[in-house]
Amino acid sequence: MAQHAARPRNTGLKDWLTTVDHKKIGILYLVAGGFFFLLGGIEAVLMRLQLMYPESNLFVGATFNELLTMHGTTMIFLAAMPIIFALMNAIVPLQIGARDVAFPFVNSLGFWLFFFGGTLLNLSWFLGGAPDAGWTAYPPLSGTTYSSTHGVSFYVLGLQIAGLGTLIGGINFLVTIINMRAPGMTFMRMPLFTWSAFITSALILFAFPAITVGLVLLMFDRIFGANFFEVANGGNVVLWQHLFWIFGHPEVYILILPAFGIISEVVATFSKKRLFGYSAMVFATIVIGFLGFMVWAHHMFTVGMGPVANALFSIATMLIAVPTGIKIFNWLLTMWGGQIRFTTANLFAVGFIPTFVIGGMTGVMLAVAPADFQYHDSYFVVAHFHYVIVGGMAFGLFSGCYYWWPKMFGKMLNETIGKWNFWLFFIGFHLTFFPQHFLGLTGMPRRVYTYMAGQGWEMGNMISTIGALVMTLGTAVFLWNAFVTSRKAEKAPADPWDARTLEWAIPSPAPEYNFAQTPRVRGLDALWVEKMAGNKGMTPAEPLGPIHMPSPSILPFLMSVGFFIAGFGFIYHQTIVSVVGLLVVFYGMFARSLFDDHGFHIEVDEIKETEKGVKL
Amino acid sequence: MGNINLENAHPQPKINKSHGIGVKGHLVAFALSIVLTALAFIGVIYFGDDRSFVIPYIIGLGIVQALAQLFIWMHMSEKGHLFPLVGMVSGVVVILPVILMGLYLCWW
Amino acid sequence: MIHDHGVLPAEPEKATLEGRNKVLGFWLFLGGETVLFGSLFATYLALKESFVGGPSPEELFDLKIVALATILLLTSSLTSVFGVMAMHKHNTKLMQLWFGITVILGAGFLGLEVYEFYHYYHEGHTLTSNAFGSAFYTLVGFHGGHVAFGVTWIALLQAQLAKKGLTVVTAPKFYVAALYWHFVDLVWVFIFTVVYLMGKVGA
Repeated sequence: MAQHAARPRNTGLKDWLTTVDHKKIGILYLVAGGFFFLLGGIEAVLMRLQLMYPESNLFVGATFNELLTMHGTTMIFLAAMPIIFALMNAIVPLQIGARDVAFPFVNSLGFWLFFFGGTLLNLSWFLGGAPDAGWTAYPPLSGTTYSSTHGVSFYVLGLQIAGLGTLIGGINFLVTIINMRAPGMTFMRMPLFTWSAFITSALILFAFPAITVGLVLLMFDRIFGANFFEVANGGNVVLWQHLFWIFGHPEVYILILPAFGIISEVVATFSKKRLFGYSAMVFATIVIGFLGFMVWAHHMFTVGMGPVANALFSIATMLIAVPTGIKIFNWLLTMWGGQIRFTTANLFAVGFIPTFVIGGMTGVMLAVAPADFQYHDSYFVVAHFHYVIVGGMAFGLFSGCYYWWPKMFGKMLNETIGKWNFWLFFIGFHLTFFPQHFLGLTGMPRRVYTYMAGQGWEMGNMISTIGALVMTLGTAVFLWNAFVTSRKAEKAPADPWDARTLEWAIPSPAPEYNFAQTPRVRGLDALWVEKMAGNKGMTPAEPLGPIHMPSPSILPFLMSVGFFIAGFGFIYHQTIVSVVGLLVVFYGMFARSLFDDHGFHIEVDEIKETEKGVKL
Repeated sequence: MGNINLENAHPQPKINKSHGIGVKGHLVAFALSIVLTALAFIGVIYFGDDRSFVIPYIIGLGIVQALAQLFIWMHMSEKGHLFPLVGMVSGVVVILPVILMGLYLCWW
Repeated sequence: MIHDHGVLPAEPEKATLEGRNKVLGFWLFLGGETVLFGSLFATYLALKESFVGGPSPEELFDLKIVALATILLLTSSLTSVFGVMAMHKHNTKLMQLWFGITVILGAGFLGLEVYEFYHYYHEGHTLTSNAFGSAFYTLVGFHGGHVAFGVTWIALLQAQLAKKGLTVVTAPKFYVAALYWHFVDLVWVFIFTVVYLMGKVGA
């Protein structure tokens, strides 16, 4: 056990394929998630072009259904979640003063599973048609009778593989946060982004197994001829809806809680104030997480569960407005009397607040079960969830990207271009989705590929499409900004925003070992405490010594390829292919268990060299 | 719980400090499991006609047995098991309404 | 971090941060597994009366086999406890013995399950026959799959133990595998209650 391997020095592609460094995995998540975000965005724009005029025939029928399904599925599973994981990977270990995550290998496996799951799902476009039963894939629509292409099978297997990656990623973050906090970093001193990552990971842990089961049932129905959803043979289609939404509703909070966390960090930093009502914020996060599991059936008010169930789920849903309201007021009170700086990150955060309030308010409207019978399946619902997911989460993620970009990449994003980014995206967003409230209230059904002229829907749809194009422009400006920044020579300082939390106590970008010496935390907003005490940086909790690191490994990549192959085998009913794929997976597990990873050490000389000339 | 740090990574190397529950305790737990299982089987064989009694009875026995195994064999009650406990309880709390829903669909 | 002091601590599975991470991570995974099996139970409960002309649970199930399977699995859970106790006493030989018995009992359980499924299949109770069949095979099969995985896993760990000895690296693996094994046993308690016994109670 004593012998450690020499320090591996992989470069280029090999480095990225084998890395177990959470910061590099964070970048991988950002790039892959960003790619899928663009894909989902293009699908959205194509749909908006079709709906720009009444009775147009750009993308009709099945094609529109495919665009619709893939837009929703891609955005939720392959864009939003990975970008959240990108920021969690890049920042959470730094915020708690950890050298690494608890399971670096599993972390890498999580990424590659997501990546190959997403790739599998998107290959369906080229292999006989994408899934077309909506992102919720309700049977019987998603059964073989009504969806006879392989599309939904791609959905089932792709999401199953990606979901497995997400689940193990969630466990990794839970254990990291519970076990690997620096000395003095108690739970009630953790930054809110870490708190939200913690609760989000818990939601992932308890929500994803339900969708795993749902997908297994659908897969057995479609591929092995089982009868879970075949009513003629005793199946029950409502069962799918329950299983889907017991996952699906917590999923919404999995998405929004990290955004809440980001906003809490950004608002506090750029108001130069401690976050108002820290413990209430923590409490609200936990309560939202808990209630998130108790409200799933509000997606099914019109299914016929009866008045008692509808009433219960209605009340539970409205309850969520209370902790959310606590959060909104705490952000406002954090800004109150602060020295507010309107950087791009903070613009997105401030823009988030009213936008999210609108989305939350329509949420409470939808929670009223009798009223929901009117809103159900109309554009009002579309407007609602885009206000919370785009106006809430996407704004939060943009804010987080601008805020943490220097810590991830070592360079500051351009603020001028950033402001263009914000205003285009913000205005475009409201242009797109605000009119949809009224389209919905006047009866325009969602998921339908066209509408007749003369029902008063022309104007709203036209504005909505223009808005979508403006949003696209905003996104393009962000990409431009990232490109310009990557070409620029100037390095970011360790603490460019005069910020409060631990991640800003180390160089930008964070070195491979994060902290040369594990810091001792002396209060909430650990770095700010030291700044106020007149210290230059954190007080170390240990002497400088060689740092033990895990070895890179190709196994996660290999195992994910195995799953990918097995997925194809299942979709095309080729048992041998599935078996081969699964054998690759089992080989990976076997090899990981059998051959111990002794890791390697980063020596003191190298640490000193890296830390030299770091300015706070 | 609080902080578990690298500094405290070395528990005292003392062997034979029994784990709270010794061989005897585990044998008792095993006997208890067997008895609970037998009671459930007997209940169904002899009182199988009385659904309203037998179903709650066997499910109750199942829950007792599950708890006994969690706390005795899986050491759930010992210190350092706060998060495992929170994890398992959360899992049950999350899934219980769904199971009730399953029953509801069955009666429907 | 791995410290080789020559002396193995009393609870070698908790001696390193890696070990503690592994144990905690595995517990949390079991929390997720609870939801997984809970969802399968919910599915089964929703569909257990839907045998549409096929054999009913009451006609199918044979409690004798189930009782035998239960005793095998319960006993294997006990032997895995003894295995962990032997590990805490650093007695590798005894560990091999107890975990070996665990593996054999688990394999016996699997054999019974295969026999049982084969039997049902010939009575016209299959995955595709009706919704009850689908739900039954999925729930019980998922559990059986877990048993099969556990048997293979523990056997593999035993091979490692023979080769590498008991260290702070191998100890957490055994501890975690034992936790897994108890959990699988625990799920079985609910399977024999909800599937077999309740099935015998009839509609």
